[in-house]
Amino acid sequence: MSPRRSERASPSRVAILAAVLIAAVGGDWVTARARDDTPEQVVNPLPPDERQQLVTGRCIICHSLETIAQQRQTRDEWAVILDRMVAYGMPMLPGDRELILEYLATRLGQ
Amino acid sequence: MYQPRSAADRPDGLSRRAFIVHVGAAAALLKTGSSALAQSASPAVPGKERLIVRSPRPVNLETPLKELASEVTPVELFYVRNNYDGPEIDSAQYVLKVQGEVDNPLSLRLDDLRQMEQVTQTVTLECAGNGRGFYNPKAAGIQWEHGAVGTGVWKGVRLADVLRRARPRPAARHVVPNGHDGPPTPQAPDFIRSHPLWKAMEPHTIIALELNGNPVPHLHGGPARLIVPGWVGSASIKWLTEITLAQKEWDGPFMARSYRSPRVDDPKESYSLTSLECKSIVVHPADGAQLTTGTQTVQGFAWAGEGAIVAVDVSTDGGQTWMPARLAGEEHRYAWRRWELPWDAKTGPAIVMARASDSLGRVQPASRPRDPQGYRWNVIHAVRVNVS
Repeated sequence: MSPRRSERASPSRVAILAAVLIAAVGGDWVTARARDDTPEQVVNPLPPDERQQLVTGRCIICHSLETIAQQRQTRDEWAVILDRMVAYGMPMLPGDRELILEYLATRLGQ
Repeated sequence: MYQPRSAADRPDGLSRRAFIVHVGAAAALLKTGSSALAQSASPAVPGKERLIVRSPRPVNLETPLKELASEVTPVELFYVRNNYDGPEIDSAQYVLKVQGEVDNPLSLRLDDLRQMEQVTQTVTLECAGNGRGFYNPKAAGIQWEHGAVGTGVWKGVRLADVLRRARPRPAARHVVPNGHDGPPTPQAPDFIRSHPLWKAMEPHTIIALELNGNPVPHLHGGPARLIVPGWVGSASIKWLTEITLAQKEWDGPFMARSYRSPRVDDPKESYSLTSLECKSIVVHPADGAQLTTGTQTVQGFAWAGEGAIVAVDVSTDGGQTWMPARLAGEEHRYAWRRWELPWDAKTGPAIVMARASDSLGRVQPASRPRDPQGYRWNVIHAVRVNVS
């Protein structure tokens, strides 16, 4: 084992950081809405609905949202991916899995 | 038997660093609220402005088909496929370790590699998932169309020369290369794929230090990366820092789960992808082009991984009749071959198609059964044009 193992990001630190990030997203995340004061459009590529932020805050920790938005998967296929992401450290609070899965299956389904 | 540990167990703490880089990027993005995501709608990578951004993080950039015009793909047009983004490596600090089932473990700096005999190979790299976006139903993964392919002039040292110096033990059967990229969380697996020793010892397999006459850019795996020619791109590990000789194939998720396709003889079983498929693309005319009547040159590229292209047939009537194209340009063992055919274009709509055949007897198919992970797309490329 590495002598510096203790410095690694532990699962709990991942969860804390994720929680901070999710909190930071809060309500001021601008989705798919042009802002008049900037030439750049702020575009969250994920389909907007009330569950979008749930997905955004968790997935963006490790990868861009484009990697999700371009997918079309069945509910069962999304479930496999979601469970793999949880195994890879995706933070998941009680009750969230069904909400996220429902979002992915209905908004990015096939 | 020695086996490389996951990056999470590395004494250099790479995984933690990579994690912070990723989370830091996400935090900065959320704090500023706009810029990073806003850029994701257009190419965010300097020097790669003409490429399609399939994903900004990890970086995945596709070359538009119309940009694949030259036999050697310029760096600014060369596709990028990353499973994880690697941190930049200071060339002065670079070290390549050769370890495992060897009698003489090595620790080589960039200058050590530069002082060995240098060879130059023109090699076509293609992502195993190139064309995934054409599958229906959709397979999960980056939805590449035609352009996760490119040809580079790669210069560096033969992997065989490096391995001979390390004196592999008789038990060594597989080469397990690892790069300086790391997963964004401690739980996610390191990106490691192995290949058998025979492929490593082939004189065309190199550790590349240069691409198209310049040091390999960071985005393409510099300062040193593997080029495992003819095989799916994922074999050509970037940011190469460790080579471990092992008795067995690597069994991590990027070997055991990803980069696998169903076996023809038993579709319930899968095999780890090696050689690229026999495939051609039509670069000119472009799909949807408005052409003028008279002589047009139909042209494109064809490649076949471990095979050699022996013919490319072209149809300008939607596949009813086929004519052999001329194999033009230079021939390299592991690079695509340019092909062309003059066509007397008559007024009206036309469907132009190309079908490659290789020395292994493979012919590009008109359709392809579902591949669960969307690999091996090599269906005959058809473009619709209008002549007036």
